[in-house]
Amino acid sequence: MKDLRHLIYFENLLQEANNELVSQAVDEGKLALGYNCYYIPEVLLNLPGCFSSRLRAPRCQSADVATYYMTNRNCPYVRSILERAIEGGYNYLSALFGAEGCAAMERMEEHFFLLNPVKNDRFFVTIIDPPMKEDQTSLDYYKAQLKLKVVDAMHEKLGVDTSEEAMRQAVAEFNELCDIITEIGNFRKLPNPPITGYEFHVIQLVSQACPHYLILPYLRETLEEIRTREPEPKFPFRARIILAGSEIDDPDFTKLVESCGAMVVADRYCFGSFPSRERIEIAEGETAFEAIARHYLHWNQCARFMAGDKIDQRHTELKRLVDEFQADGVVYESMKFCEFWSYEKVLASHVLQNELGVPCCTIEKEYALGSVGQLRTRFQAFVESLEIKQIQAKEAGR
Amino acid sequence: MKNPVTAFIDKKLKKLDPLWQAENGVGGQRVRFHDKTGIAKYREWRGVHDTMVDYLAWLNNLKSMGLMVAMAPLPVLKGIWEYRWMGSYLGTFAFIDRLYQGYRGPELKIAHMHMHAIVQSLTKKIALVLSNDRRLGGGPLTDRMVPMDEVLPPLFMAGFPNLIPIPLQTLPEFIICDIDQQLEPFYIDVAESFGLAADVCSRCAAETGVTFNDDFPLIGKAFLSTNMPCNASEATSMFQRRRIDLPDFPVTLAMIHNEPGAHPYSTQMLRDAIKFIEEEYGEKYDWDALFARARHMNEQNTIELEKWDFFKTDYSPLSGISETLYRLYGWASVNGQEDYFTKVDRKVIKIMRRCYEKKYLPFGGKTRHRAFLWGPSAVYYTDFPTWTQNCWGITIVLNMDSTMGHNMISTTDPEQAIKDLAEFSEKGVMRHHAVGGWDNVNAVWDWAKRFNCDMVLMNDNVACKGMNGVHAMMEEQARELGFHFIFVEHDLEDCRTISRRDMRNCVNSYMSVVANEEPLDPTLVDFDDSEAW
Repeated sequence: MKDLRHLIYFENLLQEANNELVSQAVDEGKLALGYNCYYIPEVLLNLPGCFSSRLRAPRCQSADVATYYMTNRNCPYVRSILERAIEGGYNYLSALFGAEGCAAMERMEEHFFLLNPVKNDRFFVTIIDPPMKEDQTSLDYYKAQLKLKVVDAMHEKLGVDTSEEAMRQAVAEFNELCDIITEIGNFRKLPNPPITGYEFHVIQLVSQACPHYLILPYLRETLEEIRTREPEPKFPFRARIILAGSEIDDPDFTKLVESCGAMVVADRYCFGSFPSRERIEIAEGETAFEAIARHYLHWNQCARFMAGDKIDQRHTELKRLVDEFQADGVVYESMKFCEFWSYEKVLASHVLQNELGVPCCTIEKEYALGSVGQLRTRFQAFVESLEIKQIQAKEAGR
Repeated sequence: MKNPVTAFIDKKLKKLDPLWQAENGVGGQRVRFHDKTGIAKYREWRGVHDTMVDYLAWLNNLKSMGLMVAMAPLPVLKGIWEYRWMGSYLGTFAFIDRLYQGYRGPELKIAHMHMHAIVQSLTKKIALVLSNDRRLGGGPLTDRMVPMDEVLPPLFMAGFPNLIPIPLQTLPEFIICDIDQQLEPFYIDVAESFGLAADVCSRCAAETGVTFNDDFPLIGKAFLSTNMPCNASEATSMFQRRRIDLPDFPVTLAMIHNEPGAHPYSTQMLRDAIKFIEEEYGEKYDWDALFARARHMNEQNTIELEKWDFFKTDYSPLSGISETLYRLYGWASVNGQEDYFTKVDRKVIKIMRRCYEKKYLPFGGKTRHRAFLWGPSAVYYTDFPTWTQNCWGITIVLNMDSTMGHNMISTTDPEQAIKDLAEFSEKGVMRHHAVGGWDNVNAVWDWAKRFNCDMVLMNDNVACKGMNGVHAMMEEQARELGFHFIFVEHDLEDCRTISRRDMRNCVNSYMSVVANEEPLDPTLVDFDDSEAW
């Protein structure tokens, strides 16, 4: 396939948290609002005058100082973020909106006010207590937490307009972004897609790491380009897989999987597009804020949800993606030291393989993509096993 | 005043007393044990009176165990056949013996009163559960039992007087891991054989292994799970609900529970849980029944607060594991629902008042340091506080988990009562100070100061992501505030990763190198007990 026109530009944008577009937006007087977790609605951080910045620590090779603070027995993602903060990599932020999504995340976010690593006079941190169910009591609590620690904090400390009108505008702009990403992502459903999983991963990441209003023009152009892009004459991969699990913000990980012969046709992980790029619909009689809270609690597929319906949702949603994107299998990954996804990985692989008939490979990964030999072997073996299944299925069909 | 006859015998036989031996450099506590094991060659000689107290307590506990078998001979037999964990209860006597090594006088008396309260309660519970366990044939009360997560305080269930709340994990996991360090590694291996990472909290890995191994008794018609205390515990509930296969309701209380906004949510969550039980069991909530039990809990907590005043002084005969284990079981498992515990509390506080009036110095006045034990303790080394006392003279004045919910519950107003219960329940085991934000963890220094401690022993569960996340901040705070501060590494329920000996060495290194002190009992400094229960 012909290279996407903006791909190298996008790749360069992902080399730093404080990239060219982030700096431009800050120079234009916009407030950069950091977050780590889907529990913090991205759309709220894109109210007029602000932009969201989902925190990454690209090219983090060592997290020695953060390891001193949090030990080497803790999640490498949170340690890398803390390390980058201590290095001064997030000085552009005006606030960090944290979520007690897991203990490690909360502790990392606490260090943002204990150590004051962000050198910005306006900077502050709030941490919400996110619920673990989707019932009315949990939704009410989620709304109360978002109102108190995100919306009111933005209004009172940063003077952000949080009116209904402003929220509806933010939702409309957010939906446009979601529509573009979703349309680009849907090309992966085709038998021979005009986009690779790696390219989509890059596009999805820049949409989270850059100010929306600055990245949108590039995304629109990219969508137009893909619409007319000629795919390879023949599907160049040996299998189609879904990547699922915990945090992945390095597109090189997708590249690694694809280099082993499996195209990543859907991304159901933290920083992926499932969930994150679903349209927010405001129902009749509902305020924009209520719609946002309902939307994020409904689509959230974090492994910390405990209620049976939400646990089942994680698996049925994955099965829906397998069917819609015609995937041959699922690679289920968890970040090392991640309690939630380690458990969910065990359960999901059982449910997928034994109850839903979907082949599944489970792996554990570090944040920084270092020695990848073992992972490559695992992926190659999985691809081979999927091929054998395809051959057996064909033979059985004859 | 001491009896002259026993005083004479004590004097003649003093050389048999390991405390005397250690003081005179001719032996000590460890001498009477077979190497590597917890098996003693002979019982500890504590003088005539205290040896009798100890032995009678042993007989009293034996009676409770005998009663358990007599109450349900067949279910107990079937239970031993069915469940791996049942066999470990045979180690109970060795467990009690090692907990109270070196205890004398009122501290020994209180310790045994506490322990017997636990033994008599637990044995009844084992007989009750096994008699009604569906795996073993079920019983008349099977459908009246409500299995609930062990760390969800069951007091609010007292409003269902016709139902019996049973903390599900208590028998197969929560208590037995204290008794037998060799048991849980088996269950951890079971969980890991299904792909669970080896770096998750070993307590929750063990619970998951119990689930996979079908070693939970099957009781009740519906299950109450909870998000308490932490991430891995929440995650293990996913497996339990599937394997137990009953309608379930996760009682997800606020994680960041030190903020005003948390309590209305937790209150509503308890209301929702009550509604769930009403629907599943066809029972109506009875506030008067709740109030009756809440009065007991209030009295126990009132006494507890008075005990805390004595803990602040040098004259408290209650400390260390005697305090911790009783408070843990009495609060988390009994939670105001058994009169026996209120009676024990009334007796114990009288002894404590007397000791204070007489300016009684416990442990022969050999205490050198007063320590606050912070963080979740290693359950495979329950007698660790006894060891710190006997070896280095470090008295564990109070344990983090003993500070659990101590607010009073309204006994007249249902609206206020449910709010009080929410606050009470939010501050549960391993949760009050281990999760919910930095302020909760950082509170240790205030607690330590309030209880006149010069030392903080920080239980460093290597798999606890939350406590690992504050490692350096705690160390820096300790330096700044001038506390003796020791990280005691452990792996909660997996003695293979960090053994008891490794834990002792954390303290030994600090005490010998940093504090430059000599041990009270050199035989306890370094020994191997890897094969012990």
